[in-house]
Amino acid sequence: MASLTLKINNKNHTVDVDPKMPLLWAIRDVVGLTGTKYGCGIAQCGACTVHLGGTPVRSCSIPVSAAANKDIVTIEGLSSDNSHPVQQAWIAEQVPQCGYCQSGQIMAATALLKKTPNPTDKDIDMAMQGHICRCGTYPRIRKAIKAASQLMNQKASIK
Amino acid sequence: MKEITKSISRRNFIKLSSLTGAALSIGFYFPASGKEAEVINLETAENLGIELNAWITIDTNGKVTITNHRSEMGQGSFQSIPQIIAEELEVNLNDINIIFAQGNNAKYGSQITGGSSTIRGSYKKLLKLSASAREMLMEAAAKKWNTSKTECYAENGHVIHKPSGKKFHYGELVQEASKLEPPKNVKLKLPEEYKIIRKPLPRQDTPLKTNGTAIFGLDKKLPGMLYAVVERNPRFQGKVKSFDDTETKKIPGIKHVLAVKMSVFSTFREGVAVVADTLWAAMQGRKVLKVEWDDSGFEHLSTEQLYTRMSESLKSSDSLSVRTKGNAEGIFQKSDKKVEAVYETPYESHSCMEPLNCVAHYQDDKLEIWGPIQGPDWVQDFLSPLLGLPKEKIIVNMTFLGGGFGRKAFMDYPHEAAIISKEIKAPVQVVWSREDDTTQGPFRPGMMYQCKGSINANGNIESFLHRSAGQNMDHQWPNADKKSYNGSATEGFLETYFNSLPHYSFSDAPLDAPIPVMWWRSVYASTNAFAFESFMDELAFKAGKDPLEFRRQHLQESRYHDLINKLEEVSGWKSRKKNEGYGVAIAESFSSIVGEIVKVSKKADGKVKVDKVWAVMDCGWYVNPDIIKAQIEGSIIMALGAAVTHATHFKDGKAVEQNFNTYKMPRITDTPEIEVHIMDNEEKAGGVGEPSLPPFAPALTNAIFDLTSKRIRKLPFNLEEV
Amino acid sequence: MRLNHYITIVTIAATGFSLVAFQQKPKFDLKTSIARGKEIYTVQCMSCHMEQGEGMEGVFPPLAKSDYLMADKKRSIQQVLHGVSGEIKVNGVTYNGEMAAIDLTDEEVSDVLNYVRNSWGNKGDAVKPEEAKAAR
Repeated sequence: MASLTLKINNKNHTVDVDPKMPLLWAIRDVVGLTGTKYGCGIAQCGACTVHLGGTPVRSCSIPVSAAANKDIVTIEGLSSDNSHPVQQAWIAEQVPQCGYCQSGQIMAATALLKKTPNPTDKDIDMAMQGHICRCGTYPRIRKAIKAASQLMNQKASIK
Repeated sequence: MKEITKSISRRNFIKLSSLTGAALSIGFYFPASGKEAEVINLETAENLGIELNAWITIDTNGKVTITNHRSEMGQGSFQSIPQIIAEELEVNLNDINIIFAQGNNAKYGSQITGGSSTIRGSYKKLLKLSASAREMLMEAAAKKWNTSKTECYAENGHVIHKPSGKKFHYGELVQEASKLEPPKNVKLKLPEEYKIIRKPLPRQDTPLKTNGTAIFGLDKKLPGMLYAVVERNPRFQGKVKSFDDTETKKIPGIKHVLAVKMSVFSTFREGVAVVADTLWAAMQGRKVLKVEWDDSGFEHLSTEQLYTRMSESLKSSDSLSVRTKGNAEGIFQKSDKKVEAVYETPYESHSCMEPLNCVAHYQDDKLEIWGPIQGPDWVQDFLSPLLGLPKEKIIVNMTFLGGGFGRKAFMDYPHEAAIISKEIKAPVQVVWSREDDTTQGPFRPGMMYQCKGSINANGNIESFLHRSAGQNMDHQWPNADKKSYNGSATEGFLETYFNSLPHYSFSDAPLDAPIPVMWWRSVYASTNAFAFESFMDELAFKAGKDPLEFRRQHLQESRYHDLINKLEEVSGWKSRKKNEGYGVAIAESFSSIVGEIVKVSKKADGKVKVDKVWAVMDCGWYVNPDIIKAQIEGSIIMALGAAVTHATHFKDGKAVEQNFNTYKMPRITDTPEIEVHIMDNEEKAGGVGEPSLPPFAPALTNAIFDLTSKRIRKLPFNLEEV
Repeated sequence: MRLNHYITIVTIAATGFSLVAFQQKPKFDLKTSIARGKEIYTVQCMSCHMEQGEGMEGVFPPLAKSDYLMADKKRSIQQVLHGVSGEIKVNGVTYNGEMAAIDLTDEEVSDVLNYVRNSWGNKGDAVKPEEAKAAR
C-alpha cells in the first residue's frame, strides 16, 4: 500500500492504495467518481478513457502510481452542467443509447478536437476507432464531433 | 436514486414514496386473464384489496410522476413512455418525472423488457390511462366552477373554462379529482391531432449520459458493501472439486473465499468467489486462487463437433414438423427447376458494454437487489423458490443498463450475488470481468439451415422447404419437453408468404448440447432470416427475376407492397450502376416489418466494402421517430458485427474468444452510411428495438452476390477475403 | 433488372475464365504495408504505446528508438501473436506489465510491425506475412 496524491479535475485526493491498482479502480472505487467505466480491462474498448496530462489514456491499463501528481481529467471534470461543447453536441445529435461507453467516447472526442479543431472524416475515424459502442452509435458520434467542432469555432470567433 | 437526482436539470427522477400531500393517483387493475386492463383510482384499489400501481401520480404542485415498469437499456423507454402520457394528459413533457418501478408483476403486469414489447405492449393502456386522468381533472374543474365539462378543455397542465377564460392548474384540482371515478370510456386523439407523439423529441436521459451521472448497475454502491469476483468453471456444467486459497488470503483486503453454485436453466454453474473490500483486491486474489475442477458427466464439445451434428441432423429424416401447407416435398422432388442450399450462423456472445454485475443485500430473511436487470419480476419469480423466500421479501431495483440485448433478462447473476450475500452476511457487488462475460454464456445458439425450393413455369415459387438445426432455448428448462419443436422456427419470415406460397414445410431438428443458449437481440429471427432471405434471393436468381421484383410478386398485401415501393424509391434500386452491388432482404419480427437494401462496391485494392444501407421500417403506430432511427442504426451495426467481425467458438467444452482482442466488435471505421425511413400508417404498434437486425446480414450477402456472383452461406465471413 | 449482368458473369465462368485469376495476391510492398500498419496501430496499440511510440515511462515500454524492439524481430512477432507478460528491460528501464495477444491475420501482423519498425526514427527490415504464419 502507498499513499498517493491524485489530482483529478483540479482537486487533490490522497489515496492509500496498492500502487499497482489500475487508475480506473482508484478513480471509481476509491475516489468515487463513477462516470469513468470498466469495459474490457485490456485497453481494447476505450470505456475507461481519461485525460492524463492532457493525453487520452486507458485508465484500466495504467497503474495508479504512474498517474500520481499528474493532471487527470474525467468526464465529471469536463463540466457537470453539460456546458462543454462536446457534451452539447452529444445532446444535440442524441448520441447515447445505453450510454455506458459514452464517457470514454466524449473524452476521446474532446482530446481530438483540442489537437485538431477541424477534423476530417479520416481524423475522426482514426481518433475514435479504439472505442467500442455495442449500441452502434457510431454514425451519431461522427456527426456530433463535427457539430462540436463548429460550436467550438463559433465560441472562439466570439472571443 | 439519490445519486442521479442532484444533477438533473430538466426533469427530476424522484422516489414515489417521497411524494407528499394529497395527490391524484391512478393506475391499472389487471382482471382475470383475457380481459382488458381497467383504469382505477386509489379507492377502487382499496376496495379490491390490491396495491395501486400508481402509474400516474399528480401532486398538488401539478408535478406528474410516472412509474416506468420497464427497464432503460438504451431503447428509450425513459422518453417514449412520458411522450405517450404527456400527449393525452395534456401536460408539458418537462413537468413529468419518471421513476423506475421495483419488481412486482402482481402490481404492474409483466415487466420484462424483451420481445421489443415496451411500447407495443402498453401504448393503448397508457393512452387510455392518461386520457382518463385528464377527464377526471376536467370534471373536477367543472364541479368547482359549477359548470359542465363540455365547456372546459385541458392544455399544458391546466383546465380552462372556455367561455370565461378562467383556469386551474392541475395541482389545484387533484384533491377533487382523486374522489372521482375514472370514466368508463374516453375518446382518444386521432394521430393527426398529436402534438407530442410522432415528434423526434430529445431523450431526457441523455444529459445524464454525457456528464457521467447516470447510475448503471456497476456504479451502485452501498455502505459497507464488499466486492466479489468469481472464478467459474470454464466448462459449462462443470463442478468445483476443491480449491486452495492460501495465496489468495495473503492479499490485503480479502475477506472471504467460498464455493458458489448458481442456477443456469436446469443445470448449475459452479465457481469460487473471492470477496474483498475493493474490487481490485478481489481480482488479485482470484488470480492466485487454485481450483481443481470436476468436469465429468457431460460432453466437452468443440465448434466442429456441434456443426457436424447439426449437419447430420439436417440430412436425417428425423425432424419435428413446425408448419406445413400442401405437399412441398412431393412437388420439390418432381420439379425440374429447383434450388437447394445450406446456411450456417455462429454462436454469439451478447457482450453488453457494461459487463454483468449485481448488488445484493441479504439480511433478516429479506433480500434486496440492485442491478442492470431487464426483468425485475422474473428475478423475483426465479429466486423465490431457490432461496425459499416469498416474493414480497425479494425487492428488486433497476438501475440504468449498459446494454441488455437479452442477456440481462437472465437471472443467474442476481442469483449468484444473492447467495454470496447470504453466505457472507453483508451487502456485496458481484462483478463479472469482460472475460467472464464473454466466455460464460448463455450465447446466441449457432444454427444450420437447409433450404429447398422449386420454381413453376410462371417464375413463381411452388415449393419452399426449410429445416433448422440448432439448440432450442426452451429445452434447457427443468422438465422441458424435448420433443417439442422450436416455436420460433418461422420467426423472421414474412406472414404474407404463408398465404402466397402454395406448398411449404418448416421443420426443426433440435440439437442437444451442454452449451447454455439464450435470447440475443431479435432471438431466432436474427439467424432464421439469414436463411430465409438468402434463399429467397437464390430462388429469384433461379427464376431469372430481379430480386426485388421477385419478392413483390409473392407479397399479397398492400402493406408489404408499400414497403417494397419505398425501398425501391429511396435506394435508387432501378438506376444503380454496374460497379455497385445491391442486395435486399425483408424480415418480419415482433410485429414489425423491416426491409433493408445494402450497397457494396470494390475498393481500389479489389476488396469489398459496404457503402450504404437503406432501411425502411414499418412498425405501425409509433412514438418517437428519432429513437426508432437510433434503434435501426444500432441494430444494423450489431448485425454487421455478427455477420463479419465476431463469433464465439468452442474447444474442448470451453469458449475460445475471451475479450475484445479476439471477439472483435464492429468499430466506427466499419460503419457504413445508414439511411432510415419509417412508414406512416395506422397499423398496430410493432416492436422497434429488434426487428431491423435480422434483414441486414442477408441483404449484405445478397449485395455481394450481385457484385461478385459469389454466394456466402456461412456467417461470419471476412469481408477482406471475399 | 440486373439479369444481364448475371448472365454475363455466368457465361464468363462457363467459358472457362476463372474468377480466381482476378484475385491473385498482390506482391509484398513495404511502403504499402507500413501505410496499412498505421491504421492497425491506431486501433490496437496506440492507446498504450502512444501516438509517437513514446509509451509511458515505467508503465508502457516505448517503441520509438527502442533497443528491445529492434533487437529481435522474431520476438516481436511472437509478442504480437501471443502477448507479453513478465519483466522486460527497454532502454534501461524495467517494465513488468501485461499485453494481451492481438488477433490479427498474418498480413496484419506484418503490417503493424513494419509500421512500428519503420517509424519515429526506427528503421528495420521488412516483416513478411510468411514470417507471421511460421510463428503461429
